[in-house]
Amino acid sequence: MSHPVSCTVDLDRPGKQIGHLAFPKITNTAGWASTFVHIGCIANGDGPTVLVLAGNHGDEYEGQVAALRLLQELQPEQVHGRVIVIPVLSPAASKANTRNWPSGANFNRSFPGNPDGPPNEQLADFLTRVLFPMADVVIDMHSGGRSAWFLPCSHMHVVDDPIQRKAMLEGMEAWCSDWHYLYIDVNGHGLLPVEAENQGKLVITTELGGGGRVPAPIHRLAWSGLNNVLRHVGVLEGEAQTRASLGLPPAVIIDGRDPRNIVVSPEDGMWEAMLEPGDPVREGEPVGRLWFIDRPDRPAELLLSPCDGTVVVTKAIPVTEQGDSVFVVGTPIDRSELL
Amino acid sequence: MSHPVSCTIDLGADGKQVGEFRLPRGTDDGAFVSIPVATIANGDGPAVLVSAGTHGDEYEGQIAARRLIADVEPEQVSGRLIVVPTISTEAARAHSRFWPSGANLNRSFPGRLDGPPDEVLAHFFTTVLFPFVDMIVEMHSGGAGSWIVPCSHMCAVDDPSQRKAMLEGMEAWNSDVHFLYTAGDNYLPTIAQAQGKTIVSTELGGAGLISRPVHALAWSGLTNVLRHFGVLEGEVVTRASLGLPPARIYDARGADETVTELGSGLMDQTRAPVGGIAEALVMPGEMVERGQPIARIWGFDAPSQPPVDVLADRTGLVLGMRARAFVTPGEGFAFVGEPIAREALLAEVSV
Repeated sequence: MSHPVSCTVDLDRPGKQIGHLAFPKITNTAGWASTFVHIGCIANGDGPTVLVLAGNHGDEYEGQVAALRLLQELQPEQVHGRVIVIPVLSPAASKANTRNWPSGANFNRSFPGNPDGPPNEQLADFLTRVLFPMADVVIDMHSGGRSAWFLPCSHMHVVDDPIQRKAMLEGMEAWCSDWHYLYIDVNGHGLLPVEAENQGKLVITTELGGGGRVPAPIHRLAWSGLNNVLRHVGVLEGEAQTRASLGLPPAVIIDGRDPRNIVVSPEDGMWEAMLEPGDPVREGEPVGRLWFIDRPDRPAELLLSPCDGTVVVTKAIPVTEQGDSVFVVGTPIDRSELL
Repeated sequence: MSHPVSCTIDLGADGKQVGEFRLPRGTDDGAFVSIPVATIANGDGPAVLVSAGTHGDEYEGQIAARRLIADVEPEQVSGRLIVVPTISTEAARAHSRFWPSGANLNRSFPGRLDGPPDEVLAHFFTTVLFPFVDMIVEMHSGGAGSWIVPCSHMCAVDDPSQRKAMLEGMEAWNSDVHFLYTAGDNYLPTIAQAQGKTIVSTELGGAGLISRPVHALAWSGLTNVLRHFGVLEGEVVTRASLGLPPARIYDARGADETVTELGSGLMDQTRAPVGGIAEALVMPGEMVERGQPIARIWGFDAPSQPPVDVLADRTGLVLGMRARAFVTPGEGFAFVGEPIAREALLAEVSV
């Protein structure tokens, strides 16, 4: 079968290769043009195949930097199995500092994809039908991007299969972040991790902060977490650490599965967060307030927490439209309850 | 006064009023841009202009200015506050530094009557508002693109008494750090300073992310500076009275050629050597040595190439860095300031 997405790297060959995926680019300035999405493969002997993905959303750079570094530094002799890295899934969006593709497509709503669809769906289809089936583990690194400040963490969907759920929980915990988060899809279908989960893969995802800047400690968490997860799944040499072995207290898992805890703005305004991700909050306590651009005489409107718990996300861009998510809260949950 | 920019309230009246400036768009339908303004005035005392949102995506000061309008009543004021919480309203709505026209209002001064709307507005500030006030508080931050150590800052003006008044005003913000910078001839502060005004300006963080301590600093600094000026009731606090160590002042005045009318401003000191995805190795607020890597830029189109380091070009405190990760070659990327004592700053112009 001829797929619209071609790959210059032989994914079955041992050693280290860096090349690109290419698929048709629709442009007015060049005929027969292609979009390149860089891909690397570092393979050596027996072991699991791990797909490392970042830049699914263009303005989420934390994972892109970690994946670019992995591509530079990882050598075949450190690997047992195969690591396939796509450091920037959405290069035009990354260059433009935007979440979505210039076409308006949200790549993380493009799955399972379609080889006859627009370019984002062609690339999604290549992941769904070519890359996911050859992988045992799929790592997809996100953050809050420009628009949201997310508690830096690894996170997961609570899948139904008990064995897959346990493996994903342990993979999530191997990031060794202070926090983890259980999420649900409240905003459309077609997510990359869901497609990989449906294929039974061990899927590990992150929200590495965000808010339009990447402090050096977040880069360190992205790098240490990614490496430790690769050790945890057995593809990278070296001993996996745990928070206990690092002398850290147990991580807090926040349950974000109640959709009422995702709070949207009642009207247009200028959002001032009064609490930050990680802050404890009581039901009815203000998490932030909305000022009104044209009406400085109008008092600010307080937006209140719907539950006791922990602030997980605050909107980072103050200018806000009615219906924008302005904050998310969640409640701590014990890992034993999940299993 | 007859100016193409009209005002729906009497800026000279007592009490609290909220209205708008109306800036003609220059279109043939007579439409105007509405810019909210408030006055809170009571009896004798200085007149102080509080402005924010010169750059639309710098929301820290806009929110503090809105809170000032909401919370301060005339009986707390001796003199007059004129508050323009969001000068560039359309840029603020668009989450953009610049106006939709592409104009950078902080490069539109002194403005002119026969110019485009940004220059007409600048002319209104230059010829109507600035002459009406004694002091100006103008709040900036790094906006969406840059992260700057949250602080108040100043231009080191030549007049010794003006320099001293501006230094004391800057210090009244009580931030941990202050810095000195050089403004171009078309910046708002340059024109206000040339009229002899005491202007206190800020860089309240930025990077599209406003932490709770930054909101707190915006509010505490603004209200303390207004008390320091004598326009707002209440006792002035100092870092000493708060039990804090003295603030550190850093000198980030560039050589003249680094300040251009079209430049990105402060970040022009250290430019990105190549394009790509920048990984910060230090954070603003950290000390660096000249030649030390402060970031590395990962190749974007050629991931097989090793990253390129961005080196500090002087020893001192990293005051600001580009926050947006994707950088283009030659883009203003960071700036570092060298420590300077307040006595040395005053001695430069002493007679």
